[in-house]
Amino acid sequence: MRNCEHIAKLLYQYIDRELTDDEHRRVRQHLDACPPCKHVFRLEAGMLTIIGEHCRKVSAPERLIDRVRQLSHE
Amino acid sequence: MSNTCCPETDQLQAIKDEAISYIDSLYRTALRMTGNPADAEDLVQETYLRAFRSIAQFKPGTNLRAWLFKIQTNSFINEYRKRVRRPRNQSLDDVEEYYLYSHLVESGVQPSSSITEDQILAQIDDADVFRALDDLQDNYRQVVLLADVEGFAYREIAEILDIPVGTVMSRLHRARKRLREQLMSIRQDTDTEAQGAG
Repeated sequence: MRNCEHIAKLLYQYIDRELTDDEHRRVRQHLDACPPCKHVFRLEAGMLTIIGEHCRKVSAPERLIDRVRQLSHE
Repeated sequence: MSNTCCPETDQLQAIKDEAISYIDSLYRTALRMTGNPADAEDLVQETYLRAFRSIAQFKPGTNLRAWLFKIQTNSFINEYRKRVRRPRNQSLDDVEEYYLYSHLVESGVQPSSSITEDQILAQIDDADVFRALDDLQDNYRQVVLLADVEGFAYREIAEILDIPVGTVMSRLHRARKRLREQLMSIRQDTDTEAQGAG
């Protein structure tokens, strides 16, 4: 379906909230009406969320924070 | 003392303090870019050293976090990457556009399948994510970290990396497709192993 291909091209911009309001609305309407595209969207968005969540578990070591604090006062 | 006699110094110290509040973001990005904690710590320390030296050039009201990432990116490219030659990974030139679309939709995977999106994604753990990211080339890993981990907008990433917005988008597109391939193949391997064990 030609429209599905068009939506697939816009999907990342949709997920990243980089579309205009009008484009965003059109993609959302398509996803609401097209279960295969909705499935792809959920997997894509879910994967990116998981990547972010796993990576954000990492924190800077305390010794590094202490060193940088010292640097800030030099 | 300085609170009353040196308001400019206080203002600079306040900016430095805010800069330090972003250290977790800079460190986790440095860790994924260098691949080891010792180099990541060195890179972050170097970033703050440079930032504090030029803190007077920072324009209050602009994006301090993006400014720090730009400094760290330049340090990584100019200092770290020159010093260390990490064997780098497969080219993304051959990544099929819209891989997921063609793979899932055209091969007839239906959302009514008994496996939900959440069940598929729940099989992915920290190690899977880090391995998939590590397999990307630096330029591609960088945009994913800035967009999907740190939440920067396309134009901010373009500014940090000093590349056009269109390049940000195409790199993101290719990198995410490769991540998808990697992470979905993990899931398929898991399924195969489970079937074998059964």
